[in-house]
Amino acid sequence: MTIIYNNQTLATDKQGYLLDFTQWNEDVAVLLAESDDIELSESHWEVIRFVRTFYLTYNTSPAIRALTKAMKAEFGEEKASSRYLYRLFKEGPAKQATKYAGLPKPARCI
Amino acid sequence: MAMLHIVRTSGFNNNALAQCLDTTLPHDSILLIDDGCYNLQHPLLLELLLQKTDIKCFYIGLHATARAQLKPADVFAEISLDDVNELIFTHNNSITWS
Amino acid sequence: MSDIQHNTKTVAILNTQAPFSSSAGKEALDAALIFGSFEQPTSLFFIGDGVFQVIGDQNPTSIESKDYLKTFSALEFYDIDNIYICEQSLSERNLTANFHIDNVQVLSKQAFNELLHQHNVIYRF
Repeated sequence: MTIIYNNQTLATDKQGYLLDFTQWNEDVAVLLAESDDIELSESHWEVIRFVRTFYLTYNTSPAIRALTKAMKAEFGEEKASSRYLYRLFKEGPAKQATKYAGLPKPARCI
Repeated sequence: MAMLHIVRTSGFNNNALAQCLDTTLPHDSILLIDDGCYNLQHPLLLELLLQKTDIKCFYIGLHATARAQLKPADVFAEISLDDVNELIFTHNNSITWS
Repeated sequence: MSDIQHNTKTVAILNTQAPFSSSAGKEALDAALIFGSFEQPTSLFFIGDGVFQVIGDQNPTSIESKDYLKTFSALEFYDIDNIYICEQSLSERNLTANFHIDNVQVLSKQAFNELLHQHNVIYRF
């Protein structure tokens, strides 16, 4: 599968995850979210940027448990609850935020 | 905590046997299966069993004879595959060196 | 409720191979992250050539290997805080205690073996 950005074709896997994470930028994130009918709010962005930085630092997409634990250190208890994150990303925060951040889907993860 | 060490490769070919012997504690057991039966003649294993008499070593008779590993020393006990289950349940945990 | 929810078995992952020439190290780490995600108490052990996975100053990307070593620093987010290294394996390889992860414990062979024996399930990579 592919998405079109700036007259360029970006390859994705069947579930819409970018195959090459270096092709990502914030405009691409908007496109990826649009394909799921989601409009990104500032709260979404906070998580997407966080997940992106996590991946660039640790070379792995965080699973949900790791995501909440890491976010707690950065943003405090309230925003690190899985309830808050599920409200933002209904299909599973790690799975969905990872997708819009242009990263590979985390292994065996919701 | 007695551990069952299941050795499946020949110590003449790689260091899994040496590493296994290095991790044993008193009252552990060693089980030789498949190519692990070639270790019936391995000097490191023989030396350890003679020194540490509280470590038992079993081997699958069928696997040994299939490999012409006949007449092992007295420190080894022959068992059948059917006996393996019991061995696993009489130890606290197990590790496979393959 | 299934038995799994009451399962408090401890998992030990024993690393025995160097990082790049086989996928064993990467697979061991992936397994650890999955156990961690499911809140299974998990410890990592490094012995033999496995200690080459944790030493500092490595440069995997220069030999076109994906740098999975960076992922070790994320283990704390998976509640994996027990990382044990065999002192004898280090000294046999003329290595000093210079690691790319922080909270590791270098143990004598005896202490290393005793801790390993205390885990319920042991996977060797």
